[in-house]
Amino acid sequence: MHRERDCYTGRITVASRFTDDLIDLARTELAKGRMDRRDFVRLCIGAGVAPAVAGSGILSASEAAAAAEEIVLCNFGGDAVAAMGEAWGEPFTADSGVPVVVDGGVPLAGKIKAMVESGNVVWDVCDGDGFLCDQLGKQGLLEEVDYSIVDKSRLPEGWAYDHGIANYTYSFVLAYDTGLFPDRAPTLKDFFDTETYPGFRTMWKYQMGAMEACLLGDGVPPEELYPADIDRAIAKARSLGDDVIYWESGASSQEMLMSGEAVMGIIWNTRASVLERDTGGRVTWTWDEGLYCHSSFVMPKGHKASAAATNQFLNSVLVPERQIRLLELLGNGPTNPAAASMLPEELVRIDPGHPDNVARQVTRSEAWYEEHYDEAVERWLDGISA
Amino acid sequence: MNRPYYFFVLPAVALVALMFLLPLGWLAALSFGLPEGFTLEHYEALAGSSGIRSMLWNTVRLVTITTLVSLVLGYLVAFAMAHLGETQRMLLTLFVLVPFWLSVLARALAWLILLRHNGLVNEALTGAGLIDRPLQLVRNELGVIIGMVHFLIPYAVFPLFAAMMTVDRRLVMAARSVGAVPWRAFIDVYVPVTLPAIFGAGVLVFIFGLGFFVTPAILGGGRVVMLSEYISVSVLQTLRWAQAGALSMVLLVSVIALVWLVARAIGFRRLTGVG
Amino acid sequence: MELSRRALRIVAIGAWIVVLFLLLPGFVTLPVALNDSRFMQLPQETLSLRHFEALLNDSGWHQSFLDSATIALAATVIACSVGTFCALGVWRLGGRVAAVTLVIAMTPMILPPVVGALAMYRLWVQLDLYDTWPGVVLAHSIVALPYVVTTVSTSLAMLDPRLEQAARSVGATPWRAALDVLLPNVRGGVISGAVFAFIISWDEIVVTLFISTRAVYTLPRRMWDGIRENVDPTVAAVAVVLMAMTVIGVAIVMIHSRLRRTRPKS
Repeated sequence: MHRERDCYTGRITVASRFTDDLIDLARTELAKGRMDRRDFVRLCIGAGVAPAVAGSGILSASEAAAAAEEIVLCNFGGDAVAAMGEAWGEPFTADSGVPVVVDGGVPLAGKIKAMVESGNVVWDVCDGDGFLCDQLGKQGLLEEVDYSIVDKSRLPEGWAYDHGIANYTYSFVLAYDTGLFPDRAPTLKDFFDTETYPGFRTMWKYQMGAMEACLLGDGVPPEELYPADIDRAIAKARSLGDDVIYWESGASSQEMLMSGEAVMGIIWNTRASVLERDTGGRVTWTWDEGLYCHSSFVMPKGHKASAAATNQFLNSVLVPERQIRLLELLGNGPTNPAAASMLPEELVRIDPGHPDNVARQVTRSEAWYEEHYDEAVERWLDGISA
Repeated sequence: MNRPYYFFVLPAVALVALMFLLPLGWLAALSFGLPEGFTLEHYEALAGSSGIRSMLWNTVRLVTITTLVSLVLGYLVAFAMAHLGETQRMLLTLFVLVPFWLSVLARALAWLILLRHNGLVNEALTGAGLIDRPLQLVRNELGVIIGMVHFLIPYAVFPLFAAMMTVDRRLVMAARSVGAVPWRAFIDVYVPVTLPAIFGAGVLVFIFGLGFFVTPAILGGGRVVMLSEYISVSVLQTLRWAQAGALSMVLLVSVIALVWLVARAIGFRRLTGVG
Repeated sequence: MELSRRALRIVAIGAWIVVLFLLLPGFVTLPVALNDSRFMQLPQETLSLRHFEALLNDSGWHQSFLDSATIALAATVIACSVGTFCALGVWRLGGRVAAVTLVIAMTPMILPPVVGALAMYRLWVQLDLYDTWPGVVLAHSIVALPYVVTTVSTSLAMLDPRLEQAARSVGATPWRAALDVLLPNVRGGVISGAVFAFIISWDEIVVTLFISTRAVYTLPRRMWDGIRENVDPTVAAVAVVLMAMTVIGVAIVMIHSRLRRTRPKS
């Protein structure tokens, strides 16, 4: 131990000017976000100055100890980068000393697959829909979750997958303009009744949520929603004719209802609550007939961080306080059932997974999506564009 | 004798072959079922799928309309630039260049603000009492065509303008001196002389149009799904890489065939400089 | 071409209508950038410079400006030099070799960007070029290359091949002939190729979305995120700044060239 220290000190003295410059440079780069912490730490080790860096206050001593270790969490970008960093990354780093870098690199299935096949896996943990755990896991693209580290009891039955864990919940909900519905919330039947309630409706272009709304609006009982009749859903969507605009990004769904261009929409609950705030209540939403979904964290096969560190991170994601913080920041709900009783009153209304709200919604069938997602998206796109 | 010229083309060929075609070859191989074996099923599936057929037809139809409109409007602007005198030429060049720099994203949003139901154009028309109910100008095929034409006009203008500047004015004078009226001189002499540039610009605009992604996605209201977006969905979401590879190969071969046909029709040398 | 005054006037009116159409999105961008709310909309009551202020104070946007500018410059230099020589070689070689070369050089333009993007993403990850400055420069150079080759080829098509033969016959090497005789004659093509290459890199989004995330954060990427996440009006302010830069830049070039032309030759 002593010898190592001496060795480091020696090198620092010899090359102190150079390394000081290097660290200064690296520090500015790091601050600007041009260099990630992994590179920074790597550089410092390369220069033989890890302990010096630890002393410099940029990294804590334990961080320097865990120098080679870092978790790169890839999600869908935007506000979620900062929010996941704050709710999950920072507390985990505080506990373990392992830095978490959030990368908004949009880890769609195709990108994960290409990355794993290339053999250079940059992402350690990726955000994706619940059914991806099994879908990609069965193709051998994901690492298995180590349930000796991750506490299964923190998750509801079925949400602890072999190749991933449910990390947060979200819903597709019916948002509407109160100018058109001053006294009551519309139903999906009203959504498709363009005679009585004229105006544009909007649904997601990429099938999910929209297909379910079409089927429920067409009179399919909730318990018979899956296996879904895609053709019936497309026929219902087409019955809207020119009265439907499909949204392609969360922001565009928000913008259409905000500007009054659309009067109703099947949109993400996260956007619905922001809309209610921004319009002072002119636009609001109902949980009734919503589609309740959960997302997941998966670990691409061959990722760089150690299995121990990533599994510990996954376990930390399920801490109720951290999940509640994410709900506050993003509107995505906790997956740990223990969180429900800890929610402050004002968050209960916006939590898609609160038992009161779940009871009013239909739950997405992950099994059906795992099997039919590819086909459903393609047929849906063909159907609505033809 | 020609050896040094091989070195001229080498860097470009190496760059594209190694960094672009090589990784693309992997996609091409997937489309033939390699490395597991050889099959044409993905190509048969393309031909057999009515969804893909209608998507391809829509793409070609929209891009053709867009190309024709862009060429006509671009020709007009290029002609004005070539024949209206220095000040107008400078101003026109400037204003054709400005939208070039407006990000494709910012443009798409601007068109939405202008053309949507409660947008500026509709409000102006309703305010002037010209229409009772708003026109559907965007979030449909019309919106996509407007956005694409707007993007592509400058790409038509500059090659056409360059060609017009080299048209020998004496040629036209000669035509007129033997009694042709200006309009006839224009049709019989001017247009044929600029024809290679028209084809060249047309091919460029057409190929460019085929790759459009952002504009149809934002201005199409979700109901205009074009080739690029379709491939993107198979690549990123549904993981049908073999299908995406097959579609890309079909596209590549068709476009090369198209360029070859056009080149043959008007002379390869005049189009590309290759003798 | 000699046209009657009336015909010319009609052409002028037509051309200006088209140009107005081209400028239309720019016209709405300005009021949107000056609107007083957090949303992408026209000003409701008062005008405000808050979005320009946000732009001015956000180091993220500055960094993106810088990223985009350096990447576009580097990609332009690479695409332009490689592409110009390619066009010269193709022009001189002729025949089948030239045709094949041309097809190869054109593929990045022919295929929809998303196809190339996936292929490059895979290779870039493999080569550790993913999310690096050289990686993005290289990708943009490849995407921009066909445009340089096309524009230079088009100007070469109008050049008399005997020009080069003449230079060679008086003893110039192919390199000297290319640099001293051919290049000056196709300067216009090279310049417009460079402009194309710069603009393509500057506005590239599809490939960039695949091969970069946080270390390299170009302007279009930041705008893309701004638009898809929040419909952020700062994006409109950026567009206004870009347009103003274009107008000023082109105006300087034009005034400069006009001065040079009107100045009497000594």
